[in-house]
Amino acid sequence: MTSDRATEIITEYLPLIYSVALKVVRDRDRAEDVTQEVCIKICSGLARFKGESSLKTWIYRITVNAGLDFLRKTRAFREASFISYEDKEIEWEDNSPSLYDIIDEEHLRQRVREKVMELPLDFRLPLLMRDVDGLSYEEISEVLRVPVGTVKSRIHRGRNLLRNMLLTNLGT
Amino acid sequence: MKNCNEYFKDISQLLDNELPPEREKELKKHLETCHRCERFFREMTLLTSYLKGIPQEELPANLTFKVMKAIQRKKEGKRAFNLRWGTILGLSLILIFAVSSYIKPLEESTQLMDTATRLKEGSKESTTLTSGRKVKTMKVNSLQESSKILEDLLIEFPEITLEKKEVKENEISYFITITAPSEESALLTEKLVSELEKGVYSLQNDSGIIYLYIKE
Repeated sequence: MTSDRATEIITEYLPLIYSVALKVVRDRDRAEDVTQEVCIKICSGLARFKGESSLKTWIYRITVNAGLDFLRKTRAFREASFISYEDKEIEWEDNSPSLYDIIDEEHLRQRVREKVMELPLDFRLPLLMRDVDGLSYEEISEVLRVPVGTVKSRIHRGRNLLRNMLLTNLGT
Repeated sequence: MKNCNEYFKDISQLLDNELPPEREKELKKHLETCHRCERFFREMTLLTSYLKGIPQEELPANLTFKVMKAIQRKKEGKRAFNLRWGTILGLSLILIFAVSSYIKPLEESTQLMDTATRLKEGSKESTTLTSGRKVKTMKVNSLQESSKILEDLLIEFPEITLEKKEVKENEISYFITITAPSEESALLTEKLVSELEKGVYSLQNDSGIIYLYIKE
């Protein structure tokens, strides 16, 4: 049977693993497959975990990597990395559309939830890790293995891109 | 003098509570006079508040059960695999040992040759290990840290075991053994190397070289 420690950890972190997997693969069935794979990895790797990063960051990283592996095996990876919206510098005129023009608050809230999942992976993951899961820049850097400066820049660009996407679809 | 696009970056960091106090002070002063930045600040505040309000996805009802079942199945499968492959591996090792003195080192891949050429200056190739195929020569900024990262990474690769074969002042050689079907092993090695490369990006101390050899 699975060791008590591994069972405890899996039980405690299962919601996190599933939610992170879903952020990467964007499909419930696929996220379940990734979750199972991650839990197997935790069981076999726990003895070798030396605690140099926090357990949460370690589990987060394994899950992101497993999700990316899953995508690589499918065509979804290319699709997920593809930027379908223009990521341009912000050029605002005083009368250009604003998020405040979307008067229906509930509608905007819903659009944000949908559109953030359409962001390319490079922007989606750091942004969700920061704003939804509350990870620090350092933790995101450790999980994604990119420098902190890259994390900052991707979060910033991710927000801009998301804003542009919301305004592109204004009223649709 | 900063332009608005630079202040936009600061606004993003302010929303993350990651902007140093001095720059926060400067930004707040700028927001009082710049309409564009003030508008950007308000819009981004709105956007992040909605992002922060996205609820955690609910766990599917039977997922815990499925996970425990999958772990159990994997363990049972591994036991069967070990029994079957243990015998084959044992026989292979005897064979390898018997013929090893007649085998010349296998030719390295083009990719490795490229890496070796690039590293020519200031590094020397290891010549003592000839019983494995060298898959990677890596110049790293901190040998100790990189070695730790490599060992840490293996937790994510239960199919791979690592054996520290040789440690010199500024070089470490590892042997990798992969217990997976051959079609998967190349992919696993490639992934391990790529993860390792990502892991050593920011280390800045004294330099060293890591050699990876694969047992075949």
